[in-house]
Amino acid sequence: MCHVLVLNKLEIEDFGPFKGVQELAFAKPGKVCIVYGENMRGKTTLLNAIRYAIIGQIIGRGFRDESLHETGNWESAEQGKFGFRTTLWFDFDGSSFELTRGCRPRKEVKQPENDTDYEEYIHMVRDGRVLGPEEQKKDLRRVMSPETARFFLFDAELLQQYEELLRDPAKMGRQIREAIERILGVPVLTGARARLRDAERDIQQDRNKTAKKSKETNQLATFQTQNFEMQTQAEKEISTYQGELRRLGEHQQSLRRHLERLDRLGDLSTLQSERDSLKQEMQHLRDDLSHKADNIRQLNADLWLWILEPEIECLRDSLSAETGDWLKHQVRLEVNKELLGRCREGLESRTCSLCKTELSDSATEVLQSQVAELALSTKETNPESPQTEQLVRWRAATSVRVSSQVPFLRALLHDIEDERIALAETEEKQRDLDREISSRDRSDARKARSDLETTQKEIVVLERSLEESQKKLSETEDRLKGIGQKLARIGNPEVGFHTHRLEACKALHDVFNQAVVELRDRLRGEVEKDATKVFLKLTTEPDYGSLQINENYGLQIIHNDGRVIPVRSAGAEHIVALSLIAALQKNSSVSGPIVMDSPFGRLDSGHTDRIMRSLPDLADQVTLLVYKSEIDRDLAIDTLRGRIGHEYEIQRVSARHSILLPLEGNSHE
Amino acid sequence: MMNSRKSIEEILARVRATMHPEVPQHLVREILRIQNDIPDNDSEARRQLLVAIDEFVKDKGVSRAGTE
Amino acid sequence: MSSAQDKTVIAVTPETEEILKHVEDSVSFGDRMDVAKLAMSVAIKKNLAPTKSSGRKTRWNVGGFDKDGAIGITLRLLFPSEVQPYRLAEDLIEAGAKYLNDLLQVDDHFHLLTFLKDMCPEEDRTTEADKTANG
Repeated sequence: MCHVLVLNKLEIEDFGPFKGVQELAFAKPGKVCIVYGENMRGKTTLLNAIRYAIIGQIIGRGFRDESLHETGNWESAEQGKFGFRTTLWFDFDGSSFELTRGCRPRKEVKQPENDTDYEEYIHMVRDGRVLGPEEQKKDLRRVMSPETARFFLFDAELLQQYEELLRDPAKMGRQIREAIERILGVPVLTGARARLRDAERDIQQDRNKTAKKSKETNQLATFQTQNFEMQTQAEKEISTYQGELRRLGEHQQSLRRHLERLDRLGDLSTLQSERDSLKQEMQHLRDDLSHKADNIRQLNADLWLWILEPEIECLRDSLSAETGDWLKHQVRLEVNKELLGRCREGLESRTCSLCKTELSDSATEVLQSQVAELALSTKETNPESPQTEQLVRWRAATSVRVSSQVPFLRALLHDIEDERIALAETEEKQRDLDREISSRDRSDARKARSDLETTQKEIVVLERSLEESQKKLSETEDRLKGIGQKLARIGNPEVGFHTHRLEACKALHDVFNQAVVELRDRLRGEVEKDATKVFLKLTTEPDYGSLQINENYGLQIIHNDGRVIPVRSAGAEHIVALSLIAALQKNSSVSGPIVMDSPFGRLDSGHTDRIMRSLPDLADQVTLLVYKSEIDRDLAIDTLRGRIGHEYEIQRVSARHSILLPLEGNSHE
Repeated sequence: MMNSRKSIEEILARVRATMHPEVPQHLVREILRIQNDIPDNDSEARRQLLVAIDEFVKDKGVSRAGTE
Repeated sequence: MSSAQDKTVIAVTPETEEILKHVEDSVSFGDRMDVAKLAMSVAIKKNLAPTKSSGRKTRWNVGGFDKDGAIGITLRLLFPSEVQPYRLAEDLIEAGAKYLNDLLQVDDHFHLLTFLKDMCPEEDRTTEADKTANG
């Protein structure tokens, strides 16, 4: 029976850059949901939100678990709101679920600083009924386990990991192989096989106890007990060595990946020169801010005056008439003074001050009366008001000042605000780059290489120890087999009963063991067939004939002429990895949605177009998280032709705040 | 899509018939049921498994007293 | 008018000094004297009653405070009955500083842009001549 998982809606609160409560509606089965977002806006965080919602895990770069404290929205944290939440609505096997996960600060913690200051919580409702902890655990395991989630929720980094593994099947981790087999339903047989093996032990112990009771079989039983102990001891050692070898193997792989990343010098120097440009930009902004502050200081010296200028202008307007009169009178006074002086001169010298001729008696009389009039007029006082005089003096005092520069001051202050914001954003970008660069520190490479060498030596020693323990186990089991045969020959009926039980158990073990082999073969065949079907739809190379699978689920490309393609391009690797994932989906005991983050990043337009067209074939429900230059929106609409369910865009509000906006024309459903 | 449950049953039936026809099909089905229904509870699963085997052995006429 | 009786130094109370310092720390001012002049203008603009207070400490010489005489002339112009403009200036500084302090209480920072919005609202700069020309 195939179990069907359909995602309906996701609600997130303060998760990464998604401040407050935001919502994503998934496309109905048969359709695609596309979310567009530039880098560092929250695309990968959205994938993590979906992953967290389903399996309670947040994965960072290099597959390390991300910190809970760092996952909460930073702007909300600055406002005193810590933690985050996801709520997922989905259907599984005919039931409707509402699954809420989240993390919040512990009651006694006022200001959380790290993960230990938080507690996680989970709340699950099935068909309207709240589930208890045991039911929750059981249902969650059925819906999706962390091991199988990797085939439904994946990003470019994970896809690249598959590509590397497909290229080198020896590297295929046990974890991935087990995850693949889990998704295909193999564990039900391997689990039964393991239980039958345990049952064999139980029956052997029972037989041994019975054999000890009888005189004729007592010695054999004692000998058997000693060998059981040796067998248990050897198995324990083998298990420990194998566990340790797995751990060291994974550590070795992780060190190799780390070194490969560090060795990509081009990336490191690009980051460093990006950081240098940012530093220059910041210095330029700081210099400009300092210069503007100086301008403001100078302008502020006259601010007191500009504030009062309207009042003074008002006063001037009302006094302007008076001022005009006063000035006119002043001028007339000066002119009359001048004229009086000349007339008096003329009277004294009895000659005209203008033409210098001698004055007659009548002319002298006229001049005398003019002098009297002028003398009177010069004695008149100017009807000035103290304010007018002051105003004139004020004009004189302020005439050298520029007119109000308040608009210019305002503009300068606005510029300073904008530049401060730009500086803060640039500083944050630089901090991010510093973090990135230090994670690629060269001295880290030396330590990693030395670590790798040590690990490889430890692996060699462990492998030797493992071989010895396996030899010991084999010899012990041979001895036990011999003892068993001897016990059977002796013919004790009670012992014989247990022997029959043992034979039945062994037969069942053989049947299940063989069934495991056959199931794996059949599944590999099915996966190969389905992967080939998808691959041929996705590849642009007409000479590629099929895919061939090996026992580790590694896939090779076979040319039409039957030969294996030895070297594959990055694009081909990508397509093969996608084909494997699609085939596993098809053969899985759980039919579920696929969520892909930047799946087209390194592909050419030909492959991108083919993948877009085949999306509905990859899974029933597909959600894509892409950046705008990865696929053109118009092209996507045209290519998918009516199969787009919903579209969203992740929009930037600030460096630490993004919003998920439905796009226009988003009523495809 | 391959129906893994059906395939598993089919494979088990065929392998049993070929390798160990003396083991009845119902016993194989019972082992499969135990594994499907009790994936997490080891001790209960082992107990039920041993009960199933013991019943088969008794059905064959084998008892602790040794009659066959 | 007897300017001989007017003040020759400008003094402020320690509280006012503190307020002026706070404003100076928030915004770029070349000198605290410029903040004091601003306080004086705020008091005039907002029609605040000049504050008489004791405990003032000498701060600036009038010659340095009002280099070009513009402050003295402006005060005589706006307060024609006032015969001691610099004494008036001191009292206006005290009154204006209290107003500035109230602004600081909001979020402990002096926002010059908000202040300008209040003191110098942006107006339609079309002159009468323009209006006539445009009919």
